[in-house]
Amino acid sequence: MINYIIRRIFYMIPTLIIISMISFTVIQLPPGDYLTTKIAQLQAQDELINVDLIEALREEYGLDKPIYVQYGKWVWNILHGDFGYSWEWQRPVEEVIGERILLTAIISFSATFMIYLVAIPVGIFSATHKYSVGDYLVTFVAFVGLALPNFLLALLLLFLGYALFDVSLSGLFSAEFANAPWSAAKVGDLLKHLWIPVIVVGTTSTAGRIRVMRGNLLDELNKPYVMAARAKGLSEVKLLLKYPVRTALNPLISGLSVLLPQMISGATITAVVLGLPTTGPMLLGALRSQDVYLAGAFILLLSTLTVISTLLSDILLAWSDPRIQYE
Amino acid sequence: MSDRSILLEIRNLDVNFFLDEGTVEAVQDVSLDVFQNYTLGIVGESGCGKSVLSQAIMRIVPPPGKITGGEMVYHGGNAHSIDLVKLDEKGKAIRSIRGNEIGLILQEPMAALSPLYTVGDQIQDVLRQHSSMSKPEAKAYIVELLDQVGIPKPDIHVDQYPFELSGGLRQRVVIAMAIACKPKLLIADEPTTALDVTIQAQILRLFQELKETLDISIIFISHDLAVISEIADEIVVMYNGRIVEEGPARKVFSEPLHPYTIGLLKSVPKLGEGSRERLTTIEGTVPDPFMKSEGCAFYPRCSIREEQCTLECPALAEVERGRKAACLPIQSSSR
Ligand SMILES: Nc1ncnc2c1ncn2[C@@H]1O[C@H](COP(=O)(O)OP(=O)(O)O)[C@@H](O)[C@H]1O
Ligand SMILES: [Mg+2]
Repeated sequence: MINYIIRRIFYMIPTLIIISMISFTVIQLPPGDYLTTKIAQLQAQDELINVDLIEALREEYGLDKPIYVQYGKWVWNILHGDFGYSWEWQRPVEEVIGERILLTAIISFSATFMIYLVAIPVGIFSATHKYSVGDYLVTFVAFVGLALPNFLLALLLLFLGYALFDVSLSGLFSAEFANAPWSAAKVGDLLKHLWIPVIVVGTTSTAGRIRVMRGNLLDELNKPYVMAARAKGLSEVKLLLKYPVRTALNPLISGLSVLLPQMISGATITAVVLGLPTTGPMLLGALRSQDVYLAGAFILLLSTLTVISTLLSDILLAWSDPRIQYE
Repeated sequence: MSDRSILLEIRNLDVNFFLDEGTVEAVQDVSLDVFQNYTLGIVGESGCGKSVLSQAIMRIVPPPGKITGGEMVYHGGNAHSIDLVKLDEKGKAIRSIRGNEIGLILQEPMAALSPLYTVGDQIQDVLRQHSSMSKPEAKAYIVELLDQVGIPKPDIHVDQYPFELSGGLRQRVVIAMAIACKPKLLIADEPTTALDVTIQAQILRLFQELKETLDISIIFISHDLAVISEIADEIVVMYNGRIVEEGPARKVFSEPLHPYTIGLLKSVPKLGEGSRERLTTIEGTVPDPFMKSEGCAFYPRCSIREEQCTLECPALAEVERGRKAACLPIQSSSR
């Protein structure tokens, strides 16, 4: 098992290298670079251009060099903890994105956690009470949840917040904490706001997983090994949890490797609607203005998160299903 | 048999499956006695209700199946007798009998084991449910138990997963699980069916051993009359959910009464007869479970059928001393 994990971590490296190459190239694909765009903009507004400064920047980041040299320089710097400079924000990239990546991770992981926390017990209930009123109710709500687009749900929640409680639910922090340094009180404030984006990001997947859990478990409930467990005299709850539920969970665990990346990117649109200080809106802006290093850092970090979450789910699955061979 | 005390008395048991397409009467009006230290064989073609009958005794008939009539009086060790039919399916009373007083070996040894737990873990369930054994005690006992059912290197196999074992070993594991709590009654549902011939013989020998060494009654189910006749004291032949013949094993095997039993016997490959003659199977097919007929269910396939057979369903009645058959022509000729 340890060997398996080490080998898997080792395999991550080429994956990440390829991702970084592709993303760097794609970001550079549109003609020109940030500086030429900027110069054109300034010229259009008849403003004075500090040609020397621009040339100095161009020199420093090797913008006149071939793309592979730029790439090499970029990677070399990252390995030394320097993610480059954001033209748009006029600050080092790591200063701009640090907190946003953290918040994105918090929302994505909380949403994933909520999805399983809700979907597994509800799915179990639904399957063990097949065709009961409760099951029909769950099924109905789940289908509505599946059909409802995230952004619509976000708008709906925002509207309800205004209309019913006269509170603004957008954002992740109250006004007084938005720019405050981290403190216990700020974490508390975050938790107060967190549930809205978590619900918005997670609802569709929760509904989906309820259906999956219900279906999986219904398949398992008729298997002879459940009857065998019943024939041992175990109580219904005990035997359900130990045997069919455990089996029905495996597909959900392997689904984690798809779910986590979905949560990470799913947070994007939602973040725009809710005005969240996460990665989504900023990534969009950076791509639009060819803010190369900012966009590159985002994509690289988000892919790393994704690759790590895939690894995590594979390790979990290997641990939970003895049929999976590590060799 | 009158010198033996009775362990389980089944009277007029009916089990129906209520499906959208109609009702399947899987077990109809079945009455039989299981005596102490005695092996009852149940034989019949696939679909005749053998498995459902064994599930009914354990009260684990899956929905939409239901016991719709009859009684099953269990005379347990603790002096009082209980009607299993009256117990709550999920209640404590029946759960203290399952696995403890009555052990069940389900039909498919592979499917009856979960792939996610080691065999030791799955056997441990039943021990810890019915005794106060600690985990290490249970483990030591399980190793002993695996040894008893003929599993080599039990201390290694106890920590293996079912898919790491051969079919024969898995069958032994399932047997070990069923006898772990030393039940008074062991129900074995086709324990030799999925195995190849040599392993079949080994498992059959294991049952012989258990029969001799344990203080246990066995209900041994098979579709193979030859296998049954080797192990059973008494044989019950089922057709379409009903008992059509009952009698001492040797008698039923050597001079079957009911035309269905005769047919079953013809379809058994004779051991030691050298040439591999083609098996004759009984002509016709098992009746459609949704079709209900007034008369004898075997009528369309029967070689001695008469006019009267279409009119009423024959009841099981004694036709010779200690031998019963549900067949009108036989009953009238013996009178
Ligand atoms: N879970 C079930 N649902 C519906 N019908 C069933 C179920 N189990 C058994 N039956 C029906 O009951 C009848 C007897 O089946 P069974 O006892 O399994 O036969 P066998 O003698 O081969 O063990 C068959 O007609 C079968 O279709
Ligand atoms: Mg069967």
